[in-house]
This record gives sequence, structure tokens and C-alpha cells, in this order.
Amino acid sequence: MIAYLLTGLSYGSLYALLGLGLVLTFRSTNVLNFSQGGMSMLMAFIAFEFATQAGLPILVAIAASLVVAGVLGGAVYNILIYPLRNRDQDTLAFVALSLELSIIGLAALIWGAESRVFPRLFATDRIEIADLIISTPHFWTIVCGVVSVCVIATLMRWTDLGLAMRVAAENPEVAQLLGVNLRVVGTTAWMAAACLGTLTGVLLASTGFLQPYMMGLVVLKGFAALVVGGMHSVMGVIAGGLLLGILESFAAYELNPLVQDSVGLALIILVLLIRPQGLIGGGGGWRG
Amino acid sequence: MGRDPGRSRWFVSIIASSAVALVGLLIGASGAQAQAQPGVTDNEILLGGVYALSGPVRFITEPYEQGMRTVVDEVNAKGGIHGRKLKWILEDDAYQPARTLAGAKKLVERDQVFAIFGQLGTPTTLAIVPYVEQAKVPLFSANLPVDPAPKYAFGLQANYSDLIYPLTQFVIKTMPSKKIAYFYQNDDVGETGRIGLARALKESGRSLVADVGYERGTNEFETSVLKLRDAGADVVIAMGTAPSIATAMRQASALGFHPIWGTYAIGASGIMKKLLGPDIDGLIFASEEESQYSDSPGMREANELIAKHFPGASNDWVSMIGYGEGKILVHALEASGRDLTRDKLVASLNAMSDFDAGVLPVSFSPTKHVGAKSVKIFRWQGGKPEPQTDWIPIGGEQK
Repeated sequence: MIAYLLTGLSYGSLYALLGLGLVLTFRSTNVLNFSQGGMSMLMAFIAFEFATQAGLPILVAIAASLVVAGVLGGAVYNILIYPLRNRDQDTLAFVALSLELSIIGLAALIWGAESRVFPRLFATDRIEIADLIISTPHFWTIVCGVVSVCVIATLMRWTDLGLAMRVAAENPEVAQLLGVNLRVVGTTAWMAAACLGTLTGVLLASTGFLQPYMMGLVVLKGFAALVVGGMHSVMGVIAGGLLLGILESFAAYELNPLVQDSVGLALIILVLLIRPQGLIGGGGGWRG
Repeated sequence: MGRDPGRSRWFVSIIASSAVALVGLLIGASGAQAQAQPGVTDNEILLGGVYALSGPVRFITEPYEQGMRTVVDEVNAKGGIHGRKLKWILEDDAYQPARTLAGAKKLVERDQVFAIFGQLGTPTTLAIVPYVEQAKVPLFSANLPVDPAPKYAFGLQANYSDLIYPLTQFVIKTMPSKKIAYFYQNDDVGETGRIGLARALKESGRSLVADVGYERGTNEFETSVLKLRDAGADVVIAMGTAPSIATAMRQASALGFHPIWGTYAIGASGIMKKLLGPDIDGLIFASEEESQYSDSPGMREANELIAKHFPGASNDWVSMIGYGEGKILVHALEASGRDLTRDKLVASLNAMSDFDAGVLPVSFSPTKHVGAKSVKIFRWQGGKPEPQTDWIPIGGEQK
């Protein structure tokens, strides 16, 4: 029972990390970023290349790929999204979706469809606390989730940049009148989202395998966390991700692991029907 | 001066009769062409293959192609078959059945191939069997999930249930006190495997302690693994893709759960070894093919030739499937003689009983179009699969 809870928590943290990236770009630039999964996978491959080709220690390789992620995230925003910033939400979402498919295609072309083993991140496979066993990657997924949440929440709440991001999301015109540079805000959000994506990709690759198609179902669950959390709320998406992870795990325990992947989709539908503003969302609901 | 009407009439009749003669000639020529076999000329036999040259299964089809191409190149280097070189052209189906059908039609109708040799995958093969039957074009696929045997379509690999049946029997016989669980991909792979599993369990009055499925495309197996562990499974029979089974095995081991894992021929794949490293030791699997690490003369030759034509290629299980298919093709074409027709090729294939394809023994007949005739159980030990049994005839009892 506790084992299922831990499993649920660690997958929930992964969804929350993904959802966090989605919330950042959605809040500040109004883009439903369908390319978050592709970016996560691509960054995991880049970390893999730094470690295996350049021979960097794995943690250094991950740090280096975080830098690449920042640059790439900023570039994507400035080249693809910023010029289209006045278009409607659907157009932007399609741009992101096209980018996702292009990234996956490109990765399959470069690295092939074969599954690869990601270099070991940790010295041991599992951590045992009293009777509890948790696999090390899962333990660190939870830790990364908690740390990222604290960092992002602090950033959003207590810094000028965070305030600017929130204003930009609320009303871009007013934000500009107030002297907020939308381009800086957008660039920052996309850079941060790409870095969160890197963590997601690396953690997922180290629990399973590295493969261009690995984000398939997982990215959908990031979106489920986003919807459950009310689209705009950092805390909401964290709660949504964790809730989804735990629900999935208990569905597997009570019923059958076969149903666990459907839980997220069922949750999206349920939330949209009953509480479209999300479990923790404010009164606004889906703001276009 | 007016034109001579007699002369003009003479001219018209010359034109008319030559036109008639020309038409007659054309009809005669096309009649003669219809009698010749498409894809067969004096010095060449044109063959087609349609399978994934792109997409997620390319890492399986690439070694398959290398195995087959090795045999084709090797036979061409020795002067071909009855004075004809083999030309093998390919179409990409990206593992999408609709594209397999389009590709097969292109090969047959545009390129006029003699036969389709080279196809891999259950849904994709199913998509083209009705077409080749209607077009009367021989098809040879790695898989042929069709029963009873069609007329023109042939396959090589044993049905999953024919692999899991002897594997389960082996487990029951050699580890009588172990509790058995089933871990499966929720599609035809899992369901076909279940048929063999259920049959062996029923025959010995045993039952499963856990029956745990997962959906294709997922990479979260931990809850499945917990279910298997909580049920007290000692042996887990797994049916799915190699990366899925390997991921589940790794996640189980991370949770301190170390059952004996058993699976079908995919257990021999190079990718499985690469993914699991030394942790692959102990994995048992059933295969219709000799181990690629075996030093049997046929396997040694296959390994040497593939390495010669594709330096650096991994000696993968599936490259041996391609190689075996190539050997069968060459033998059947040789047996069909210089006066080659599609029906003769089909007859030659049907006549191949107890043929040694180098990497596996096969048998065909007019009612048996799946080549594999027997299965061996292997266990990974010290980084290579060691045979645990002799060849067990498919459908027969284990000694």
C-alpha cells in the first residue's frame, strides 16, 4: 500500500514537473506548449551525448544540457512565438504542436528509434528506509519536484520578474503600459520551461530508457495536471500532478494496472465538466 | 491534271492493311508478354520488400534487412540463380498497415516484381495477405498470423502461442513449486501468448497467481511490478516489446523483486542485452531459431557472412530471421528451375519439408505455410543464451 503511494508520488512529481513547464509558458505567453514533451526528450538526449560522447560526468552533463535548454527555450520563443504573439491561442498551440512533431522526427533521424540506457545517475538502485523501498530515480524525482516548486513559486511570488509575468498573463496591454517588457518575460518563461523539461526528460530516461518516442503518454498527463490545476496556478498544477500520480497508482492497486493510463484522461473530462476552473483555480476558469 | 482515282485507292489500301498488320503485331506482342512472368528477364529476377524503413520499429527491420541482403549479395556474387541475378527493391510502410498495402500494390503493379520477399509485423502482414492472394503474387513475411494457410502467402516465425506453450511447460516441469504470473501487453501480442500459456497451465492443473497487463506505449511499469511482487510470483512470463519487458525487469530489480523472467524469441534480441547488461542473466526464452551465439556450422556461417557484408552489424536475432528468409528464397528459386513462374515458386516452397535454413530448421507444405517447425528453450548465462532443451516439435509434447 505504502509502496503504491510512493510510486504514485514519484510519477505525480514527474507530471507536476511537466505541468509546471506548461503553466509557465501558458501564463506568461498564452501558449499551450505542446512541444514541452519533445523538448524534454531532446534535452535528455543532449545530456546523454554530453555524458557518452564528450565523456563528462553525468551531473556535469546534465548541468551543461540545462544551459543548452535555456538557450534553446529562449530561441524558440524569440524565433517562433514572439513574432506570432498577436495571433490567437489556437494558432500558437498549433505552432507548438508542429514543433513537437518536428523535434521527435529529428531525434528519430539523428538517434534512431532504438531504446538506449541512460547513464547511471546514482550509485545505488534503491533507497531503503526502514521497511520501505523506493527506487533511487523515483526518490530524486520527488526531490526535484519539491525543489523546483519552491524555486518557481518563490520566483513568481516574490520577485519583480514574477510579478511582471503575472501581469503579462493577466493583461498584456496593461503590462506594457506599466513598462513590463513582454519579450523579456516570455523569454524567461520559455527558458525556465525548457530547464524544467530537461529535468523531466532526464528523470524519465533514468527510470526507463531513452528513446525519441518516450514522452508519448507522459506529456498527456502533464496536460492533465495543468487542467486539473486550473491552467494558471503553479500550486494547482503541482497538486494536479500529484493527485493524478496517486490516483493512477491506486487505480492500478485496486483495479488493474491496465486502467492506470486512462485515469488522467478521465480526470481531464471530469474536471472540465464539473469544475472547469480547476481544483485550485480562481474564478476565471479557462481564460483565452 | 486530276489525280488518278485508281492509284489513290491503291495507296489507301496499302495504309489500311499495314495498319491492320501493325495492330495485329501489337496484339501478338502483348499476348506474348502476358505469358512471360513479371519481374523475370533473361538475366534478372526482380523481387520486392515492403516494411518499415522509418519510424519506431526501424531498429528491428534494419538488422532483418542486413540478414536478407547478405544472402542476396552472396548469391549474386556467385553468378545468381540459373543465370539470373537477384534485384531486391524496397518500399517503406513505416509499420502502418495502410501503407503496407499501398507499398505492395506499387511493387506489384508499377514495378512488376516477381514476388514480395521481406515483410515484418503482424498487422502489416495481415493488411496485404488478401491482396497478394487476389493478385496471385507470392509473399514471404517474417510473420504469418493466418490460419488456414493461404495459397500465396508464407511466413517464417512461430506463432507466439507456439512459443509460450513449451516455455510454460518447461517452467512447470523444471520448477514445479514456483508460482507463475503473466505480464502482458494488452494487444494481440499478449493475447496470442496467453493461448499457449493457458493451454500448458490447464494441462497440468495449474493456475496463475497474478495476471497483469499494460497498455502499449506506456513506460510506467512500477505498479504492475508491485502487483506481481505482492502476488508472490516466482516466475513471470512476459509478452510485450523488448524495451517494455526490459524496463519492467529493471524497475522490479530496483524494488528488490527478482523473479525468474520468461519470454518469447525477443528474449534473444541484441537490444534486450544492450538494455539490461549483465542483469539479463537468468532470463529464459523460447525461440524457433538457434542462438546467434551458437557455434553450429549454420550459425557460424551466417555470422561470418553478415559481418563480411555489413562490418560492425550486431549479430542480432532478427538479422538471423532475415538471413533464414534469404536462404529459403534462394533454395526455392533454385528448385523452381530456369523456367521460372510464380506458381512454380509456390510449389517449390510447399515442397520444402525439413529444410535447414542455416539458422533454423523449417518445414512447409500446402497446408503449413509457417516455416518454423520446432522450438528450443534458452537461458541467458554469462552473457549468452544457453540451450536448455533440444528442439521441441511445435504442437508436440516435451520429452
